[in-house]
Amino acid sequence: MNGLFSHTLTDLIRGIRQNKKNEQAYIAKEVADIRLELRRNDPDLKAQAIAKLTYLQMLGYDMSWASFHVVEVMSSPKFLYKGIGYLGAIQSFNQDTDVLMLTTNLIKKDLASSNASEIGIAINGLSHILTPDLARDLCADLVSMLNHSRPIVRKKVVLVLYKVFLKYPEGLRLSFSRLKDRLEDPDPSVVSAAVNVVCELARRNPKNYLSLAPQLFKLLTTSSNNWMLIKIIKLFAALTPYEPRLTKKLLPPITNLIQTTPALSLLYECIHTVIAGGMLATTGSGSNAEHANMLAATCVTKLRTFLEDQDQNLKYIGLLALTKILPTHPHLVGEHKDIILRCIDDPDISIRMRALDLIVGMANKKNLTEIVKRLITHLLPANDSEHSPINNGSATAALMDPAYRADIIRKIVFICSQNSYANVTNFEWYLAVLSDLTNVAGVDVGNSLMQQFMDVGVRVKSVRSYTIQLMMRLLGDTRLTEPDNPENANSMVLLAAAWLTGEYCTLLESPENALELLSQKSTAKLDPVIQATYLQSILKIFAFWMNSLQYSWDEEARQSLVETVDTLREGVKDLFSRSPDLEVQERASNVTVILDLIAEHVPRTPLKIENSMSFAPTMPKPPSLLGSLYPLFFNLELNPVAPKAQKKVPVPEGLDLDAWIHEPIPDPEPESSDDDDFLNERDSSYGYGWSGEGSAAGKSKKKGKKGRDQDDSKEGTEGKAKRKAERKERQKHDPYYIGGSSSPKSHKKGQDDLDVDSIPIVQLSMDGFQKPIVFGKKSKSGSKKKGKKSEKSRSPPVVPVVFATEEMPEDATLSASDEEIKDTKKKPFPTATIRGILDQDTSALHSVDLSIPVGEDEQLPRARPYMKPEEVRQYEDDLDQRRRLEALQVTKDKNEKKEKKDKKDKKEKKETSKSKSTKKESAEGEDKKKKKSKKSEVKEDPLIVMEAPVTVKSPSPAPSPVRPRSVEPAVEAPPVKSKSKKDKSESDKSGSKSKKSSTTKKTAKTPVIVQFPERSDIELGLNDNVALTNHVGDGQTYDIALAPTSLESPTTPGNEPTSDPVVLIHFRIHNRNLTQTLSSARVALADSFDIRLTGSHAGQDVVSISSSIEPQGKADLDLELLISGRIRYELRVMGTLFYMVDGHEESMEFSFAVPPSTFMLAIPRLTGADFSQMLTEQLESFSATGSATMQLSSGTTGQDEQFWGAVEKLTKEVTHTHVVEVVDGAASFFGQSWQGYRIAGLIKVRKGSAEESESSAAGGSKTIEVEMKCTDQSFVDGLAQEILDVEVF
Amino acid sequence: MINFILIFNRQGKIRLTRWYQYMTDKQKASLSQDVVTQILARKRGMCNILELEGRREARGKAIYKRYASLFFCFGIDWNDNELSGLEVLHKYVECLDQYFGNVCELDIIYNYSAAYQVMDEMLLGGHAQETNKKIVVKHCKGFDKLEESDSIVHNLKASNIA
Repeated sequence: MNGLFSHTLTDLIRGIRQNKKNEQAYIAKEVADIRLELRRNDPDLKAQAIAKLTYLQMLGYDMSWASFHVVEVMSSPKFLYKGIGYLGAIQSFNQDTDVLMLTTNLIKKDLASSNASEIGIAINGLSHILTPDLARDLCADLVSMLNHSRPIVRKKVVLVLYKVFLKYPEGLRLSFSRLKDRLEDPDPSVVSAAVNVVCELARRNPKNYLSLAPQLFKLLTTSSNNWMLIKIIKLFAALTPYEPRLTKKLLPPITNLIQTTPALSLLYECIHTVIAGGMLATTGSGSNAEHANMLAATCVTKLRTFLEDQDQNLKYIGLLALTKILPTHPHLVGEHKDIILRCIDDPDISIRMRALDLIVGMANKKNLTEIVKRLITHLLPANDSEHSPINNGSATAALMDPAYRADIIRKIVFICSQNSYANVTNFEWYLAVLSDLTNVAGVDVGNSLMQQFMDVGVRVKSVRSYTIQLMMRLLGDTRLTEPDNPENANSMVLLAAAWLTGEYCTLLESPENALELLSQKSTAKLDPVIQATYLQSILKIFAFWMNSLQYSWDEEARQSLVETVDTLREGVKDLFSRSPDLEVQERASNVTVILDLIAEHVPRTPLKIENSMSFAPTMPKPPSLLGSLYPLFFNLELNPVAPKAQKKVPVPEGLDLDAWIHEPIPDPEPESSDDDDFLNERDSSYGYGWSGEGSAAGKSKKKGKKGRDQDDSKEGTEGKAKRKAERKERQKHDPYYIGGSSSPKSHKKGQDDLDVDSIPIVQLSMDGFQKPIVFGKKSKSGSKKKGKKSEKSRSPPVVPVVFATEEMPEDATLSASDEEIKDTKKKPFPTATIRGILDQDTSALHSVDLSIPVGEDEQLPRARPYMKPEEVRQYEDDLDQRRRLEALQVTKDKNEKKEKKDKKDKKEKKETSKSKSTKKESAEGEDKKKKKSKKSEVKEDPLIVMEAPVTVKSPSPAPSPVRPRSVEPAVEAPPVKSKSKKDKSESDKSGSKSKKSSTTKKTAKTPVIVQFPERSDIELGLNDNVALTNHVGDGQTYDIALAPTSLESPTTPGNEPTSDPVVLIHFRIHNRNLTQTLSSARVALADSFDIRLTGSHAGQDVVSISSSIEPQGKADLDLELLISGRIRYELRVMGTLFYMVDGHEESMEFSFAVPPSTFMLAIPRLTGADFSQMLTEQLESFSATGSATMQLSSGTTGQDEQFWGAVEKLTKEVTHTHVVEVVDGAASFFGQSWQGYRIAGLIKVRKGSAEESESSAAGGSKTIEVEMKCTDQSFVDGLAQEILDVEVF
Repeated sequence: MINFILIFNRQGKIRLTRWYQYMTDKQKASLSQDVVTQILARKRGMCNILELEGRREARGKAIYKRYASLFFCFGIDWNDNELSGLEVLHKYVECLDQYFGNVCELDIIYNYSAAYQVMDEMLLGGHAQETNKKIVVKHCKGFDKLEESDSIVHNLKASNIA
């Protein structure tokens, strides 16, 4: 090879290691080299380049640009290269890799290989690059391989089928019965693989696999493979919930395993299954329940040993298992609280997280405080070594991890608030915890804390006053109002603080203080939502305070009112009026206007103390203004809504929610055009009820003006009603929409006759307000609270909890109280259900139902053949179009879109292919048609053939070193055997063509075997005993040749179905052994879709050689092979030679290629004029091109001679074509294959480029270029490869 | 099932990757980066199970083990048996050891395709297909033979034609 480029993989790796400092630059250079290597047509270099790229890909470099070359290397016949290609594909391909569609046949071929290793890499590769198309096309092949003779293949097939089912769920139904059989495979690793797959499938949809229980149970009791047992047990864990009877059957073997197995992984799995399979939760009575309880105790004891073990892994899984057992047996887990609490402080975050989960589940009234305290220590600053349990460096880092801290706080909030605060006995404590959390959190958990504050504040009446005190403290806390680090300051709690102080301002010790805090300067920096709440609270507190002034109206009160109003006005103006946030601004102007009004009416002059007749000076009557704002806020008390309230809303009589308000609109007609689809799909993404409108719009768009008018008028009547109904329907489901029918009613009630008694639960505790409240004195705020307050201050800090009454809807059905009790069952800690990146979309597998037997009409799809060039082009066009459409389209539901578009594309494809069908339909169709046309030509016009003996003339006067190939017999061939050759495009137009022009173009195809020069034996395989050669037999002319029968068949009239060529191959088996005789030798050809035995051995699997072969002896064997596949490069015949030697059987695998040139026929020579005419007139059909280049050695021999030698060799020996014309430095050639593919080519000498000539000393380096045009792409590709493979010089 | 395999050294340099699930290159890069940093930060005495970022069921777990200078890490499903996963991981290292004969980091660097081969003989599509060490190594050695003979045949053929 060219030394410049031949950097091997090892060189690359070494280079990278040596160039650590400028690795990037080095790799960039290497990638550039790789690009050059890939551009050359050398398979060795290509494979090497791909190997290097794959290595670089691992380091993070892109190799998607080389995917086509990867496929090329994958298709290499060499096992080594194939492996490289597949590895490259595995590492770099993804679902969208375009070239994947080219791999179908390649993989099909490899799957059919006789070599188990080759099948192995193909299956392994396939498992990574499966697309839905590949899965569908290869499913049938794979399923048929479930019965492969080699277990190594079977187990791989079983495993890859799972991947296939993921991509092609229909395949599961069709092949499940055969997959099931593998559970009874004689080979244990196949059984294990099958269990693996069934386990994986059952995890998605257990019901389908209940029928396998007996088989699995047998395996469970007989197998000793721990890994398989784990899978089986896991599988049973998925099945038992659907078949509780299994539990009874499973308990003995599992209990046995738990008590005896030394394998910890198996022990753990058993315990896990016992728990997860619900085997401990037997509701039955008597011995069963007893047994279950005993088992549970055993499990928990075993798990305790896990926790006590030095091995951290055991600790981890022990905790995990305990978490699972907790819901059913809390008391058992509770016994081990000590050790679990120790795990919370473990330096290992994995263990800590699991312990935390467990602790959360264990929390109850008694231990709540202890647990919360323990959790809070994790949040304390690390330098606080007395409190912080862990002083280990990495652990501290973990403690500072915001995600971890947020998780801890979420857990604290969860365990305290679960079941409506069932575990909290002391709410003041809880509020203190919350406010501590606000300060130490270090992460943004403001929202959840805010909700907790508000929730507790509203719900728990008994601690409201404490809440308000606390809130005041928070409002004044500069850590919140002026934080150093606003992101983690949890300023959101200020919202709760502002709101609570506003709502319960009656409990404020000093409303003036509150007002001051709410209008402090720092407020302007807070979040607009908080600011809006601040404004509202300011108004509320002010209204309350002003109202309270009227009970102590004097000069002092007047002055403070004036002052307060003025400062507030200014404050609001300064802080909020210019806020960029609309809500804040609007509220600010509201407040300003109200305050302005009040400021206008506030008496500005000092009050005169009027001396009345009585001794004591009486206060002047307070202005009515003072009470004016009060009713705005304080008429009704806010109560929490009962959790059940929504359910209790009675259904009005006569309302049937299940009845159609409007009959559903039928689906848009299927024949609607693509544009309609497009619109439909976009509209439907807005939700249900819109699709009808969408399609209507789409249609009207398409129709002309007339159509639109019609539509409009139609819509005028039906459409409006329809839309109205739809809107109603939507509104009905919209929780935020207040229904038109109900709203007036409720308004009426609210305004006209406010019947307090009719509101069942709300208690208007107006007692506090009817009495004059002396501002500033807490004791006045209600006797009930006063009592509690004093009680609290006396000593026991725990306030008896009084919850605020919960709101229920009017006419609530007050029956189902027991229901509520049920609902208070512990809910698990909420876990995020976001789809992780590791999650697979297996939803399609859910819908597969295996209980229905497979019908006759259900069959695995047959694979599609290669895409034809025009199909590929079409595909690319579609792809392009799709990309453009995607760019334009703005829809929400991507999946839906894709699905639809795929459909659309298919439709388009169909249409275009239909439109093109006059040209080409499919490979087979085309061939048939061609043959037919040929035949009909022969029948109709036998005369023409008779009349057209083509004379062989050398058209070129130039002295040509090429001896024209002897084709004399062709001219003399009997007319029956000669065949008019006609292009299909010509046949389409044949009517219009003149007879003369068509006759000149006709050439005769002869069935005569041409004498090719002999070749030496080609070795097909070699081992110690046997050499297998493809022998050039006596009198035979070519090693692999078209069989004589095949040569005749295409011209035999009335013999239509013989459409596949037959190839004759001679084998010779040499016994290389000097002493032993080989006996019962036989050749088995690998199953192949392309190649079948025919002739005397038709239908046989094995061809045996009757006689034994003496030492050093030889035996010959002729095989006739029917080639049905497409002719391409490396169409391979593969097989195994079995023989007996020295009493035992041995075998040897062999494989050899059937080169495309085998199928070339000797045809009469074309004249130059005919040749050029044919090319110009039928250029279209010569759409396929191929090329090859080779270097002329720059030796001393005349390069002209070399060139002509090459021309002769290429045409006569390699491609079996003939030279048409020669000019100086170039020659054109033409040939035709058995299949009717025509090859027109040009061989020319090209002067080396400047770059190349520099590198070679002689300076005269030249290359020979062969360019070919052909009517079939894969054939010309094969031929080009063949040319490259041959050493011409 | 196994979702991914990462082999990296103490410096965090990745030596081998294998993804059994479809992911974009970006996701692969960020996930492997994430896993490598988290594992390297862990102390020797800690457990070999790492809950992947997010720490919720959707994400899965990584189990890892250190052998000499290399970390071997498998990404597994949340509900998978961690212990058996670690056993498979150990088995893989044993197979490598037997195949290379006292395997070291350099073996894996220079013969990465062989390391993949051993992996592919043991696992397919993220599931264990062969747990017998002998069989795995035998098949891999078989591959080597095949590759050798492959090149011999090719050379013979080429010389014949010439």
